[in-house]
Amino acid sequence: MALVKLGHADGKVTTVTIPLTRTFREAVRDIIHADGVWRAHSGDPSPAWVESDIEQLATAISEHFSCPVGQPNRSV
Amino acid sequence: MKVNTGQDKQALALAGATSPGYTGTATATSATTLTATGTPWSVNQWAGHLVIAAGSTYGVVISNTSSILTIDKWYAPATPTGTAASTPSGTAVFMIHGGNAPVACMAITANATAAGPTDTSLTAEITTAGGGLIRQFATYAHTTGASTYTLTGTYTANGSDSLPVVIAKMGTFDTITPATGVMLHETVLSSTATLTASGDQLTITQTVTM
Repeated sequence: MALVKLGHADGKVTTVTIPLTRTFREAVRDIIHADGVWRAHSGDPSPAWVESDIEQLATAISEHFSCPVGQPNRSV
Repeated sequence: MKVNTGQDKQALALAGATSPGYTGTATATSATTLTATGTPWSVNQWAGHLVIAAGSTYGVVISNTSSILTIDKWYAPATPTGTAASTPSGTAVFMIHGGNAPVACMAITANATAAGPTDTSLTAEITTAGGGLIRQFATYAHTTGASTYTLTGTYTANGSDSLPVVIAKMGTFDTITPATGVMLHETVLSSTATLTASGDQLTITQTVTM
C-alpha cells in the first residue's frame, strides 16, 4: 500500500490510499489521469503540492503536474 | 447508483449492528467454510463481516448458517489478489470482526443494461483468470471535510483477456473474488471504453456521496 497526499490551494488535503497490487505506472495513472483521482477531487489543474511515502511516486506526480514535492513552509 | 444491497451494507458498516463481534474455536474448516462449536448464530448474521483465523488469514463472510460461515476465500494479507492462503487448522481460534468488510474492490463488464436498485451482482462481470480486466482492489481517496470519497480502478488488458471488448459498466464489492460478495454501487460509465490490444488501459473513478 502506498499513501499519497495532494495539497489544495485552499489548504485542504486529498489523501490517497493505493493498493499494493498496483504497478507503479498504474498508481501514477490512478492519480493523474483525466478520469483519475485529482480531477475527481478538485477543479484546479494541479495540486499545490504532493507527498508520498514512496519518493519515486511523489516525484512522478510532481513532474506531471509541475507542483512541488512536500508541503510548503513545513519545518522538519 | 447505490443498489439496495449497498444501502444495507452501508448501514451495517456505519452502525455495526452486530458489534462487538464473536470469538471462538473452529470444529472444522475448508477452503471456503469455517464451522463453529454449537449453533451460536442467526442465519446471515455475519454476512459482509471479516473472519480472522489463526491470527494469519482472513475471509469475507458471504453467508452463514447457525454454525457455518461461508467465505469467498482465505486471504493472504500481503498478496490478497493472489492464490488463496492455506486453509487454517480445523481447530483454529477465530474472530469475527464487529465491523463490515470495506467495499474496496471494483469490477467491470461489457454489459450496458441500466443499473437497477434491486441488482445484486454485475451482469456478465469480466472474470477471466489471469486477465488484467478482472476484479481489483481500487485506489481510495478522500478530501478533508468533503462529503464524498472516490474509488479509482486502472485496468491494463493483457494476453489472457478476450479482446476487443467494450467496457460499459462497473460495480463496487466487498470481496476480491469475482462474482461474489455484496455489491454497493453499480454504475453505467459516462462513456464506453474500447480495449483492443494487450497493454490498453482504462481508468475509472467512482465518486461516492456519503
